Formats: sequence, structure tokens, C-alpha cells
Amino acid sequence: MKRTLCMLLLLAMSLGAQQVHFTAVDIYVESKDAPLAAYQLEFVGHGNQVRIAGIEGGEHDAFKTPPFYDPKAMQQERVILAAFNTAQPTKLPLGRTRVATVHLQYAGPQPPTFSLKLNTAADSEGSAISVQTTFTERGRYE
Amino acid sequence: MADNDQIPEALIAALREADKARLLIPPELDAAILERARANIARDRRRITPWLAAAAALMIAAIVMFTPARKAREDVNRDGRVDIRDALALARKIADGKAQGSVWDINHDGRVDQADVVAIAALAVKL
Repeated sequence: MKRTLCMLLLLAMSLGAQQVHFTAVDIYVESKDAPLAAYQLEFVGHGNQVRIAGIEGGEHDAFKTPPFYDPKAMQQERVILAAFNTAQPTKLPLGRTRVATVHLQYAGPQPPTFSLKLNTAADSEGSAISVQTTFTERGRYE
Repeated sequence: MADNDQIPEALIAALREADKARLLIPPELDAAILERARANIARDRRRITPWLAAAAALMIAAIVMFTPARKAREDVNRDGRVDIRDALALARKIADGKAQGSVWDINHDGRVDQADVVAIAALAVKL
């Protein structure tokens, strides 16, 4: 009886340690005065069993639809996100804009960390522009 | 046979006798000849190998230097890499009616359209 109780206790502890959590990370591109027509960046989640669970588009109409990404990135910790819009410069975002949101799952009590690397960004002419990429974690939930 | 008629019979007989006799070469002489032959071959090889290696290296360098780099068709803006800017460039060409011709038919479906733009974008984000 004692042994069974100990086994159950250990099992419960291990399940608790592996409890799955979810979080969402908003990704922003700051293009200052240049109209943002295209971006490509690499997002990585670091931590215990971090897995990408979903990807959303951004806030501006030009980037509202989810960006391009490799479907293989689902259930992995790394993804390349890219999107473009051929609209007139006046219909493209200026300044800081949320271009995508990445939903992730992770296991255990330790929250994951994230890194972001810009590959390229372009204006409506297709010319490379200098931008800054940032992210903020929206919140964690179970 | 006609030539044999002009050769003296005595000489023919002597040659036949000589042919029958076994020529004995001492094994020491045989070994010495073999040793010298091997030494000659090794020396020639030592002389030739560095030149052969140098020639091969030069040939490879020339091939690498003078062979034009193959451009990926997906590299629409010709900047040496395939990324989302190439998808944007092709989308703009299509919108401006400047994407006629099979060169932009990335997915080989016989026409240049949004599907080719998506094919480039998919390549750009491929893990």
C-alpha cells in the first residue's frame, strides 16, 4: 500500500513538472518613415520543450493575413516568418507595427525565452530598408 | 621462306642450336635489375607527383573561377539570395504586366501568376 502511494505521488509530481503552458509573443517591425512593404525574420523560442503552436497576422491591414512560414515549423521551436504587400506606399504601415503573433506551448515551470533575427525588409519599391524588430510576450496561460 | 634461301645453312643451324640452349640468368642479377627498376620508377614518381598535383589544383581553380555561377530563377531581384523581396518583386512584375515569359514560371504550371509568387515565398521561409 505504501509503495503504491509513493508511486502515485512520484507520478503526480512528474506530471506536474511536465505541465504544458501556453504563451503568445507579438512581433513588431519599426520602419520609421519608410512604408513597410515586406519583411522576413527568424523567431526562435528557447527553453524546455518549446513548440510553436500557431501563427497570426499583424495589426495593419497590409499584414493582417498570417505571414508565410514553413508548416514544418509547427511543433518546432524555430520559424522563419515573411510577408509582403504590393499596395501603394500610402496604404502601408509606417513606424512601429505588429506584423505577427506567435503562439507557443512549453512544458515545466521555467518560462521560455525568445530571440528574433531580421533577414530583410523592403519598401514598396522592393529596396532594402533599415528596420528594427522587437517582440513582447503577451501573456501566459495554461 | 624466300629470305631463308639467302641465309647460309650453317648460320640457320647455329641459330637453331642457340635457341635450344637455355640461357641461365643468376637470381642475384635478376634481383639487382628488379631493384634498379623499382628505384627508377619511385624516382620518376617523386618527380612527377608534385607537378601533377599542382596542375590538378590549377585546373580546379580555373574551373571554379571561370564557370559562371548558376543564378536561381527564384532570385528575381538578382541580389544573390532568395527571400521575401523576390516574392515582392515578382508580385510587382505581375501587377505591372511585366512578367510574361516562362522564366518567371517558377512552379512550371505553364503560366505566371500568384502561385509563382507563393512558391518563391515558400522557398524563402523554408526551414
